[in-house]
Amino acid sequence: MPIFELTKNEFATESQVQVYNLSIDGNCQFEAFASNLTKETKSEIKKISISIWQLSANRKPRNRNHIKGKGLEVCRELKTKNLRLYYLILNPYGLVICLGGQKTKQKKDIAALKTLKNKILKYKETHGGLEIVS
Amino acid sequence: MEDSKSYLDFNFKDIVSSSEFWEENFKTSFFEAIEEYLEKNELSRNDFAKQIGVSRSYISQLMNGDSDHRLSKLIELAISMKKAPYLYLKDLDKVIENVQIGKSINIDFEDVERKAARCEMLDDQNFDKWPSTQALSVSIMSIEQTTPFRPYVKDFDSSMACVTIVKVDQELHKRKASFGKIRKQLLHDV
Repeated sequence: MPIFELTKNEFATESQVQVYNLSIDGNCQFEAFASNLTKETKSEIKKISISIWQLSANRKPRNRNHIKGKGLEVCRELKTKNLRLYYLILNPYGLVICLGGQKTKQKKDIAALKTLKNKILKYKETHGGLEIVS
Repeated sequence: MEDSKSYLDFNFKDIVSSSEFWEENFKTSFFEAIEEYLEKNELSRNDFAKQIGVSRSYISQLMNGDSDHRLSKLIELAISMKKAPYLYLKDLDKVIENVQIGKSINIDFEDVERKAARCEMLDDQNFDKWPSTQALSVSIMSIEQTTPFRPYVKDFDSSMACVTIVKVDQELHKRKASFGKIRKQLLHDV
């Protein structure tokens, strides 16, 4: 099983809600997503970063959506014209950014998110929690 | 925490300095206010659009879109929700300073108002009636003005220009005499 860890998201500077990036075997998922954007979608990551700040301030970003579907009750997304950033509500931590992707690959990404969510919950149960690393 | 400039070409300070950040927050405030209004009055977006004489698509655009709405229309909208649209302009350098030292830049105006209202409790006549654990937030103008309160100051938030004064039972009772003076100075300063 991979090692799941949490790191605080740099844009989540407020303290009302904690927002973490998920790292899988030391690879930060948010960073991987943000560093692999195309020239066209690069401008949209700024809007997502603003929404992350809003989440940490317990505001309601206008581009936040609940993801519908069985087993996805704790899953949310932040969306822009072409991008999607998926996160989980994970107690007792707060919000955990798990995956980012393109709008065109939504279905595939949501299926991956569901699998990832189950793995995280299993890891949390077997390891007694997720480590928060700085 | 890693600086995002290593994988993005901006960091949080750059975001706070951008008009995009403040515009999005302004729009989000409207979004939250409309959502609250609709929920409180059990209205659909359609009902609300009819009530204020605009199209449903205008409401959707306002809540979720990126259009640059006219100020007069936004004010009209606020008034129709029975809200007075105050505007608060804060020195951007101070906001960025707060970002750099890791302090909050979010202002909850309702909370500020609550704290200001509690300022009235700063009265040595009813001081004995305070519960022992009661914390009192006081609006003040600058950090220098907190000096007389230092023994009682639990937290100072420069972004809110507020201090939280906690009643410390024994010590504070001993100093009750001087507290009257502090109160006078505080009320004068406020």
